[in-house]
Amino acid sequence: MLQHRKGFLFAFTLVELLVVIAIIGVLVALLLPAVQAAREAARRSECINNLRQLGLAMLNFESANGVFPTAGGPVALFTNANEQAKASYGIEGASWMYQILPYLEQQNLQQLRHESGGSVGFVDTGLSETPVAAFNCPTRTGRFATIGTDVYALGDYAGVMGSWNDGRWTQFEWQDTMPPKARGDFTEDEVVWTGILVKGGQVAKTLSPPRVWKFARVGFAAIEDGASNTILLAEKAVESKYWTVSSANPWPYWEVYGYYTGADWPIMRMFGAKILGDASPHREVVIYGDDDVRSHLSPYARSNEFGFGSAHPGVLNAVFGDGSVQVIDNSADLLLLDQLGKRADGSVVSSQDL
Amino acid sequence: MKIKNTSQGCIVNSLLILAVLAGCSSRTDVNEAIARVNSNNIQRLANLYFTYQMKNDWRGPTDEEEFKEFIRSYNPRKLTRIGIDPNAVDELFINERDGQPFKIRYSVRGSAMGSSEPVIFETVGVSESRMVGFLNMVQREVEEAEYNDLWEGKIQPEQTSGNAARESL
Repeated sequence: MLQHRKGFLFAFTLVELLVVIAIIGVLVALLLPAVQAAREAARRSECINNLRQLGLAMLNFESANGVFPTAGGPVALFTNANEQAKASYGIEGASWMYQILPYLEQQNLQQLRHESGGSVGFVDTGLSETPVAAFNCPTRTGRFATIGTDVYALGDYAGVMGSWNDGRWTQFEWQDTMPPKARGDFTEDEVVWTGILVKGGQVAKTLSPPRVWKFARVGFAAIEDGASNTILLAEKAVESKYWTVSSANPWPYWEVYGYYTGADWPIMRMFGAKILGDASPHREVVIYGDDDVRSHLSPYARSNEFGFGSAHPGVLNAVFGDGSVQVIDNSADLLLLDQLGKRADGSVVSSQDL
Repeated sequence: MKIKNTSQGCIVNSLLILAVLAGCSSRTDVNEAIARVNSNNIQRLANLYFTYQMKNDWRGPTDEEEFKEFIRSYNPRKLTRIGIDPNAVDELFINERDGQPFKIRYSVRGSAMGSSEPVIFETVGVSESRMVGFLNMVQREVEEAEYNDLWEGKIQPEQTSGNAARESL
């Protein structure tokens, strides 16, 4: 080993150095997974904390206004600057994320908005490309879309809509500006917007003058199943290769136009449970991990996302109407989750049943 | 002393490398990202065409003059970050590949749910194939027959909507 003899200095031999490096390599190989797991656990905690903050912001909004924020207006109104300038509609076109900004100490960001909407009020002002930490799970990175000449910050949390397997859900052009009635006596707000966050209303642009239907806003009294038994927000599904959306081909409507999009897929999702069993018209919307392959979908639809999911292995974080955060197993029963997403379906379920 | 320093240096360097490997993460710059999807004039023009539609109820510009006027009035910071000199908008309408002005289909309607209409066309191109720029951020080279059909609007692009996509599941 290292010796000092008669003025000569002896170094480590090459073999000794290689052995030391090999030992360090083995130790690192043993330690790295544990380190990565610890870092992921920290990120999961931060994600839970984000949801808790969003839940508190929602509750503060409710305290101040007597109702929860809306999901936003029809997306066709949100994207059209001319339409949003029409204050007579009386419906906030931007999403719940925009509405709770002051309750996240982001009132300055909220005030960036020009009085009109869409490309003028949100894009030109820089509002739509400014990331807000509370809207993003720290495990996911690069959460923005580059569409045309614009950048949109993308969110990781969504409110809950009803299931498209509800037999009454048909012919609702809820993304466009159409009358809210599809057929029979059922209207869009009764069938689609069954959670705590509901669309602000609908506008029929084709009528002259345009006709407006304002949907009833939800306060605690309207959450008949109990706020602690109703999911308010959960992590939304995003396949890891689409964390960053760098193209409009295919059109990434499940993410665009980012945080402030009206009541649509970027900020609202569903569990899609097969309420009608085998007679259900659509597939159920399973909870996906970010690295799960969506191979059962057609190639065209493989990038589409309508449901919930997370980057955290095997679990999904959700905040309930009372502000409590629950960790839900990805294999949880979708029918139960669908019932937990509804504010007043009369079901006797709680998160303990999952 | 020298040996001690060398061995200590070895250990310190190893630890530094490990620390970097363990802690490295990539952060994407949004300005670089938006520049990447606007790297040539055909891309930039197609994307600006889409931007025009967004601000005008999904109606396309009616002629070159209106399109240029829109670009000149557009946010100079946003033009600069996609590689356009706000004071040299005319250059944007010249194709870098063949040095000729682009042919542009005007008054094309778009949609908030996306559109894949062809709008920007190379006049000459290279090697008997010409590039076409579509509203869905795609550019591709096409042969004579397809070029003519696209220019004349004979090929109807697929319409994208959330409901249509759901039906295709």
